[in-house]
Amino acid sequence: MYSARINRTHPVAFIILIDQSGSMSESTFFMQRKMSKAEAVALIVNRMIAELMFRCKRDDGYRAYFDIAVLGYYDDQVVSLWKDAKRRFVSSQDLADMELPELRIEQERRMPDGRTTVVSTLQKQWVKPFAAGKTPMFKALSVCYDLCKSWCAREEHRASYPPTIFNITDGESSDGDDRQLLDMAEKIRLLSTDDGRALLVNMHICSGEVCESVLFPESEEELPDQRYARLLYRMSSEMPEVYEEEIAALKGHSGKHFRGISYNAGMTDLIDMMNVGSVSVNFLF
Amino acid sequence: MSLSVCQVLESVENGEGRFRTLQNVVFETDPAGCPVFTVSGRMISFPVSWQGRSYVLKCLLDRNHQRLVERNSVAVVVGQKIQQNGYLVDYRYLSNELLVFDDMGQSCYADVVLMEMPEGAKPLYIVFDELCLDENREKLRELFREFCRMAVWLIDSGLVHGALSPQTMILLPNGALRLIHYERMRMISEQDDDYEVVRDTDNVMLANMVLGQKAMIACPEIYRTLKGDPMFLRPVVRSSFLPLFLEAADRSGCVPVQKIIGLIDPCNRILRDRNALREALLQLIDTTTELDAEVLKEFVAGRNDFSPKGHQSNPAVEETCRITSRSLLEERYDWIGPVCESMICVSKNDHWGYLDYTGKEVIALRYDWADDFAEGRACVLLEGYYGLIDKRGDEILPPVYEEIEWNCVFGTVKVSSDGCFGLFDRNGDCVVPMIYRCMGSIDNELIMVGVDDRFGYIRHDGTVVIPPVYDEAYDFQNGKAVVVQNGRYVEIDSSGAVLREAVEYGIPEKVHS
Repeated sequence: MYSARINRTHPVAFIILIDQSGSMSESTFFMQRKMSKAEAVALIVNRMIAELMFRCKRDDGYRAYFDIAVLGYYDDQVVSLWKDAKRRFVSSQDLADMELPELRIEQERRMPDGRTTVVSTLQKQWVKPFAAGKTPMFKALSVCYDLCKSWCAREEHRASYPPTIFNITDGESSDGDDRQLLDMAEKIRLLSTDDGRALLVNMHICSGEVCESVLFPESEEELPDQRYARLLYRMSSEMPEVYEEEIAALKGHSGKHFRGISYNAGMTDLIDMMNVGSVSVNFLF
Repeated sequence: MSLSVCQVLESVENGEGRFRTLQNVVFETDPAGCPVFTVSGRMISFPVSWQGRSYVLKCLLDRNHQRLVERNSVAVVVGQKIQQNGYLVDYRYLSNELLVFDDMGQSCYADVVLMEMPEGAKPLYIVFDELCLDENREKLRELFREFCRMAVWLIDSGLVHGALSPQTMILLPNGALRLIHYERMRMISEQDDDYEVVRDTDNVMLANMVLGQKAMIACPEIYRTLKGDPMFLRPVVRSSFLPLFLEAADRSGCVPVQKIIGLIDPCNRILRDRNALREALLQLIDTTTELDAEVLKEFVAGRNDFSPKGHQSNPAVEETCRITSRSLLEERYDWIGPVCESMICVSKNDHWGYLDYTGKEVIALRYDWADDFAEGRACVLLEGYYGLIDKRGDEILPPVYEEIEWNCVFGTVKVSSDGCFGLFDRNGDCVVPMIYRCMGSIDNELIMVGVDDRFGYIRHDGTVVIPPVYDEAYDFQNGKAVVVQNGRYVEIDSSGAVLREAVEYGIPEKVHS
């Protein structure tokens, strides 16, 4: 299980759910500067998409190794964040062909000789930052379930690596009660291909500038004694064994039965979590 | 730490101060000015020029892979040898060379590999393609002799390449061969735990490639079948082609080829006798005796007409295709196979698919290689792995297997994955789970299998006929098989009863009448 090789006829699916509620307009510190959480998340998600794209580059161009959906949820809406909002899943091959604005990102780099230089890179903006209204997470999970279900149901995906869902949020759901959220999360986690069940990774990002984050806990006790933290834990998938080495390296100690959740994560943690959940499976290519 | 492509690209695009020792590396760029690169799962590669020569700069993304390369430390192992032989391209392993930063500004140095890619060099699989399509036997012979010289050098050097294949060899414009992509190359010694495995992997690949090339010289058309076969991609012990090659060698009296087959045939896991392989290679450099072309041509032609029920190919279908569209097809495709069960295998720019007999594309050209249909099933290759499809293009078995053999007579598919073998039926239902470490030919009623270093025999439905009790065991031929039990070579029948004693494989001595 969780060992399917990724190829053109057996792509892998990623669904990224982004909380775009009003609280995401609060500021955070990322890439050596202050910005809104929505901006930081957009940068991170765009970087992850770029990384996934690059991994698909072969002599003959970009290959369709991934189907990616990015959904934003705010107010009472769940929307696709692609340029063409009617599209949900887009293959990496199609993403490569998309004409999109590029964002110039400047970052300070301290060289080994002590000099500081500023490097400038261009990044395609697949996802743009946005923040308004409430947090309809239950609705987002419901849409995700339908999307994931139809992807898994396609005959050509039966032998594929199962879908991975990243749910990035900074707050509590404004719709659905705990029972409904747990049930919907379980429905998602029960979706499967022949290679295993879908992986739901909930990434809670912190609201302050200093956070005591918990990543990939092995038990509920690692989390703060808070209802919402425990709820997210129970909603999340246990990470398969193939991820254990990467997670252990991230946490700095070995362990088993890591749960796919972060609580109070900073932006760096978010990058690490998404790396573990996405490109660390590159050995499957 | 594991690296991201984004990190490496940033360093390449902002090169100043990012390389610890390399100076004046010029990266090839696309029309937009971005560096050209390709990525495999664990490695990003850039075509570059350095000191007036062409190289590929490779950066390892995976932490474990970095460690592996460091351990093997190719530059240290073969550093001196590079200077004194002609079969390795210039190759530099540069530890802690490239400065990379993550999104938080943290930095580290990454290892890189600089591999020479001489101007005008072509990968061997492309050379094979070109020479076989042109039926240029003379060039194939020259290449073959060069290959044998390279193989002898490799054996003599004590080095093991670790990933020999037509993809890891290049031919220079002057006709010289070079080995490339040798990150895994090692100098092995008998004290190493994995000495036999590592050494014999190379031996088997050399032997398989020698046999394949010898067959190509006699019958260039056979390359179309060989090029996608596992024997040219992986160290497949006892390829399903061995009986064919042996017959062709027997008929023409090509002794060195007989010897090599004799070395492989009694192998379940290893090609033991490296010196004997070396001797056969030396003989092959000088011999002018080729394999019997007729046997190979019959095989190629026979595949086209093959039908286990004795049906002939449909002449009307052949004629329709020939008259109405064959010439048009020839303009459209690089390769057009024969009509097999009303399907025509074609390729264009090394992408393979199928047409129906009218010339309509019915299975898209999305495979890296595809075999002809037999009883409604065909083996296909995608990104280095094999699968089985039906005539609608639906996957019976997904392309995830390292080896595949489809036997339409028994309706059985033998596959291997992660070094374990199993059997499926024509519908893709598992008949024998992937539990065997070794599996012989599926052309017989009884199939040799190995489990936990013991060998026995099963039927195509998985029934164990002779339990795995032997030290070694080989395929049945004419109702008899040679096995090794307690160090004794004996010949057994299909019930496992001992018929004769044998001094060694193939030379049985009659002990029972």
